[in-house]
Amino acid sequence: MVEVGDRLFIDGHTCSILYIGHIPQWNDSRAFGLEWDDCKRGKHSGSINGIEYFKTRAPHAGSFVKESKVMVAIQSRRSFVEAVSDNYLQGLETCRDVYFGIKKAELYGLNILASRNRDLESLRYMDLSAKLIAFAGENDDLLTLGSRLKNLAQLNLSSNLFRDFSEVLRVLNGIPHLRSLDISKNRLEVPSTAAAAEQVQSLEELRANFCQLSTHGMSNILSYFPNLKRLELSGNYANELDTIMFPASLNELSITENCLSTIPLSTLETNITYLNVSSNKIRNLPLGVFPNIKALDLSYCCIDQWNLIDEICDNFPNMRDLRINGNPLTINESDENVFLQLIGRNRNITCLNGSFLTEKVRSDAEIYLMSQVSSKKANINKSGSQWRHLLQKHGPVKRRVEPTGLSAIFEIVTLVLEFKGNKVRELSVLTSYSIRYLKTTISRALSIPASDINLYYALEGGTQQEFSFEFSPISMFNIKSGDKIFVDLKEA
Amino acid sequence: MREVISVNVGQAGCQIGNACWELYSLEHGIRPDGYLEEGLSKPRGGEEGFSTFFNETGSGKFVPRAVYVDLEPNVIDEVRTGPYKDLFHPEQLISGKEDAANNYARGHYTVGRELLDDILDRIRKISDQCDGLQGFLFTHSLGGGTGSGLGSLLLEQLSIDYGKKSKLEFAVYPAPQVSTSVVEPYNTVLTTHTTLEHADCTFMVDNEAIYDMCKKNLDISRPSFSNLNNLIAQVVSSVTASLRFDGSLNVDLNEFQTNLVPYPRIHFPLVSYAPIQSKSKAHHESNAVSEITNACFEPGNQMVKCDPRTGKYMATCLLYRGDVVTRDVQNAVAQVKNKRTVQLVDWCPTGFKIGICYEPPTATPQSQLSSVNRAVCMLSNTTAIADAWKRIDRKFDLMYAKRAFVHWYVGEGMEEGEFTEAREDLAALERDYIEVGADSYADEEEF
Repeated sequence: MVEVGDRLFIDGHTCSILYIGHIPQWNDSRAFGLEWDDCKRGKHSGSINGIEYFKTRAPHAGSFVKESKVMVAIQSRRSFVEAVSDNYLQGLETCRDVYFGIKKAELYGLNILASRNRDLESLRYMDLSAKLIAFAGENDDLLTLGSRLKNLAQLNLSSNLFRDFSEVLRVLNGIPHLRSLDISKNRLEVPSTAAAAEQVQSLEELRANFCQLSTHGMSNILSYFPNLKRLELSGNYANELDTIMFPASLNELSITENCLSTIPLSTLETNITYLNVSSNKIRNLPLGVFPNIKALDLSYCCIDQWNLIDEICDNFPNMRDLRINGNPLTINESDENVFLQLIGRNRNITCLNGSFLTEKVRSDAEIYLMSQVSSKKANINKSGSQWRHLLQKHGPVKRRVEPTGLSAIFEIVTLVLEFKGNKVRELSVLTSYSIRYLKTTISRALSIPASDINLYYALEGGTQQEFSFEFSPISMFNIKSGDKIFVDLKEA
Repeated sequence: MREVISVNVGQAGCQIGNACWELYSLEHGIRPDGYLEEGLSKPRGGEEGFSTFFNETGSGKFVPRAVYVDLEPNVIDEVRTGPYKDLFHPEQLISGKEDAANNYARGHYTVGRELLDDILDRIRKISDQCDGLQGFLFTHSLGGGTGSGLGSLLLEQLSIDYGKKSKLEFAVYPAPQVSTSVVEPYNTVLTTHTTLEHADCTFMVDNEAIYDMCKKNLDISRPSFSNLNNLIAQVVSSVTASLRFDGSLNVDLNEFQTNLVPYPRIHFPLVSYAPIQSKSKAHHESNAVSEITNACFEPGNQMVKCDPRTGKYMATCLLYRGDVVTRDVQNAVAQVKNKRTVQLVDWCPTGFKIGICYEPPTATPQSQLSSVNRAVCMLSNTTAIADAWKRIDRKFDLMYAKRAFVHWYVGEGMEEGEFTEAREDLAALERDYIEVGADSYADEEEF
């Protein structure tokens, strides 16, 4: 029996049936309208010659195939029970040897491996990904199989052809101590929430990535697994999660590549310590403090404001590990600047984008941020806790007012010359003159040979001090405009 | 009882050692204080495999069979005060007071030699606790002073003291991205020359390759040494997995040699590892056996930057770890054969071996690596790795043509002749690689 919604595997690609019926182009055969998971495989979006037979979710992911092809694909679908016996219970087949040139590829330990795998009772992992599984199998077989899988802790059912979630549940019910389940890349329909008897208590880890789940579907699936500790729901279609009740036991949540526009508030009241919301359209943060979160992944989102980074610091007070690469904010500016500012703006993190921060890097970054802020190249809320923290740690920033432009280099001072106790004239000189040059200039002004004069300047108390270093610039001697320079003849 | 003693020399060696022992303890279920994790009655990995790397004391504590050696105290002090301080016996941690200043000659002749007796004494003590010592596993860098100088000195001495016990090396090949000194090419050439006849098998780890993996695969924008070392540790762990757990290939150190080293000088297998993926990107990969096998042949998963397509394989070992099914392995190998150009030399009767270790890999919490149920590590002795020697030789030549920095070495009592001697040896090594890659049938049309 084939129904709309069924999953198939045709010529190396998975697809769902969206339409069964006739199209004018094919008279002799029923046509099956398919949506390919790989949208590049498709030819159209479900319409031919203006008639819409079905509509694909991704544009241009649909095509029609004839019944014969579909029937082959239907035949090749298998049950969980069959897949287990095919992959784990078969003996070592006498398979074709692989030769590289004249050399045989020698395989060691395959006998032991096969016998270990046949020993279902002690098997802890089972990988049945991409094995064309569409159903659980007969009840009796499931029971006998389940009784043998008593140590199985991890089961991978990803990339299979499951459609009906109740089939997955039937598989799970047979396995008593299953802790981890991967059902990624199955298009599951989860019609309703779980009744108490249907709940799978043992499961601690669930991966349901790329399952085309909406918010509603997620919430239904979660109701079956009350004791989850790790949950992955990446690549689905959730746009908000505020209505979802996460299990109280949940520790790690990955919900990347969905359509979230903010961090879900529903995680606020939970015990989640690791939250991964990367590759979403997150632009802003919810109001509220998330005291439990220790690691946060916000990479490849849409964060473009520095004040959001400051909010993160306040709202995630116990976060130590932050990933925020690939946001507009971090892409548009230079690496160095972004890296240092991110550290400077968050006093809690010890690991940024995967790099561990040493105390030296941290304090360099903080001082860098403070200097950027004080020179108005960066903005930070001056009454915020982070700025107060920085001030407390490094002290306030003192900036010297530095003259700008040419005058910074060419500072001119006007000096008053006194010769033998009388004021002679004023002289404007550059502070970069050396004392020797100053002497030459004065000697020319007074027409006395430079070798015959000594120059003195006044110290604070009024005592006169001789210029000691002939080759030093005037600027070394703390002389301001209007200061007196005393000229004396050398004693013969 | 086939014990292996790990010798970690120099800053890089000790830090990689740290990362490795942390991973080993996790994999075997040993707590940082050396006792078993709760709920375990014996360490994971089986008595035989486990005792190759750990020694059980009378009180039920497990002590690594390892020595840490450095000429300056900083790095080893970190071990002494770090979270794993109780795992080691203080006697296993040996540090001097004066560092080698990135100078091979200081590590090999002056400063290093003073510490030599002490180190050999400690190694002797550890080897006395072994029933049947297999050999030694060195981790050191080629570019630093201690790693290159003291490392080669120790290898020489161990050759004398322990005769034909196997000596395997994990050697960190210098890279400009994370360089600490300009004389790295000198140190590398000098130490390679000295150890060429003493080490039995050297797995090189190119810092540049690891750095790129951290950036691309793990999405770490500024990889630090601890990021690099965590990744290296993962690779070292999968190379040694078959020694520590039940494996089917390379279960003792000698087997590495017989499987991979056709000539004593051609002992630098290329290591590739897959999957290398970050936690946050893990959901994109299915890590099917065929995928990770294919990835092993990608340049992005190699520990040394070189192009194996230009060279020939003398020997290849594929070591799977964890949850695999026989048929998947067979299919994956057939796929490699069809899709890839894997050229094997014609003079070697065997060449492509596949082994399985049934214990899956573990990821340390801070390694950024996603935890996976299976991994594969490929060791292949390919002539393409001669590229690495060519690169370092060229850098050596540039500096040595002007005798730049040579006085540092001469000042420590080294003779200048050793430079030329070492360089000639490496030139010979390059020629050796060309020779083994050539077909053994002479070209009929030329005489």
